[in-house]
Amino acid sequence: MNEILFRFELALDNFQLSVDASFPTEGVTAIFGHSGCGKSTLLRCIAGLEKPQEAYLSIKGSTWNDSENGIHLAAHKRHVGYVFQEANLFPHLTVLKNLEFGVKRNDSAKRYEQLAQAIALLDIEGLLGRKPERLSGGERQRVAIARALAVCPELLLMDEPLAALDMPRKREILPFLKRVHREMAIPVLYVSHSPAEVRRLADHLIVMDAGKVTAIGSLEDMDKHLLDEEYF
Amino acid sequence: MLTPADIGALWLTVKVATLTTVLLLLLGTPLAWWLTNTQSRWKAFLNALIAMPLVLPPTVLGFYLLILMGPQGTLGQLTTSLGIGTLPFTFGGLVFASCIYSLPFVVQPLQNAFESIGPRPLEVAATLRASPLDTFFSVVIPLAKPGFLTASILGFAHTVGEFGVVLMIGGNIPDKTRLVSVQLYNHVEALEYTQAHTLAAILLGFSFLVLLVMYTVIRAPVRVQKF
Repeated sequence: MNEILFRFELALDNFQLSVDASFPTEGVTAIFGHSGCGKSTLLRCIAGLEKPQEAYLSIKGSTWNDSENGIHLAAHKRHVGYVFQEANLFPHLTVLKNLEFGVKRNDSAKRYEQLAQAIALLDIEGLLGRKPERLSGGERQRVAIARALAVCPELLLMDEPLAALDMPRKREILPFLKRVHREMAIPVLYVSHSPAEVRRLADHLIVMDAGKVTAIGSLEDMDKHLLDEEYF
Repeated sequence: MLTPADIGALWLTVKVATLTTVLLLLLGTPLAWWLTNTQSRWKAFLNALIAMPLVLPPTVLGFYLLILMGPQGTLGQLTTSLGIGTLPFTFGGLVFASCIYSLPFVVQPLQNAFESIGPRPLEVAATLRASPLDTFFSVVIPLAKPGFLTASILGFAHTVGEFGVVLMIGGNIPDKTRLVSVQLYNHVEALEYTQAHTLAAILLGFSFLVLLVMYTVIRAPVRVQKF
């Protein structure tokens, strides 16, 4: 029950994702590997944005994927929060409307409480009335993270949320990420190819290469994988 | 200056163009959305079919529509069996023909607008619990607004300008099927150049105004930035 189990077989044009593993429902699990190794595709499978040929996914006792029994829960019915590399705020909505987009479509009792908490946590109170075009890159990504948190996800998926930002912006966001992970009891799956980021944020590590999971464990046991990767 | 017949033709033209635009927006929106997202091998076939009125001489289109809607045509037999009678020489026939004639002018701008949105905003909406239909109304339509504006303006203006099709399917009955372009032709045939000048100037002014509005309002092409 305190594990998230997944198994996916997905053949794309020139790439094969073939994974079978699990990670704990507590803390931050980083998915680490070169670009193109299938990290993002794995995240997309978990969010229901891809349709793998074979799939099994079970989260805290509920089954989102079970291809043997014909189960494929639609993406909009999965209780995940998803932060993409680009903030992808809706340009026609203000920051507040962007945040409320998910909240309005959610029936969790504590959704407005969680929205208020997300706004406070990411310190975006002063931006609520603005349109996305009037925000800096770092501000946009903070809003995107708050928007994903405000839907009360059972699992937060983050796909290299810092990769599109320059160094000062990365430093701006990192403390917020640490706060999110510390103060909200949501398991996080964090895709990254930066060993430094993984060390600062992760508790567990899944190492991937060429569409497969090559190593898995707690951060302390896995440190050599992070060092190795830095030379590539 | 304008005779009652001229005013009748102008009013009828506005009615046909408005009704055609509304019908085309209602039918063209799902069609354009389907064409944007389908992997079907019929996509190229359908795109070519929809674009036909762009290149066909209107008389050719009008001729086939006349045959199709006539007593021997498939559509003619259908409308007869439904008790409507045949469509040529009627207001309904004119609206039907206008819809075919102006179809690409509505579908293509919508399709371009939908395509430029890309899959990402739809995925974001799905991760925020919006169903595909909900996403269409709350994300796709607002983001494609310039496309809807272009489609409406072009669909309306192009219908106002139709002549060959109207003539072929019997558009010369006053207040029923006589549109302003045909009325202008009648004036010239009758050597009534003063009235012809007035009507031609109205159409010229209207066309320029419409295009001016379009290029003023839609300064930039439809584009969705990554925020």
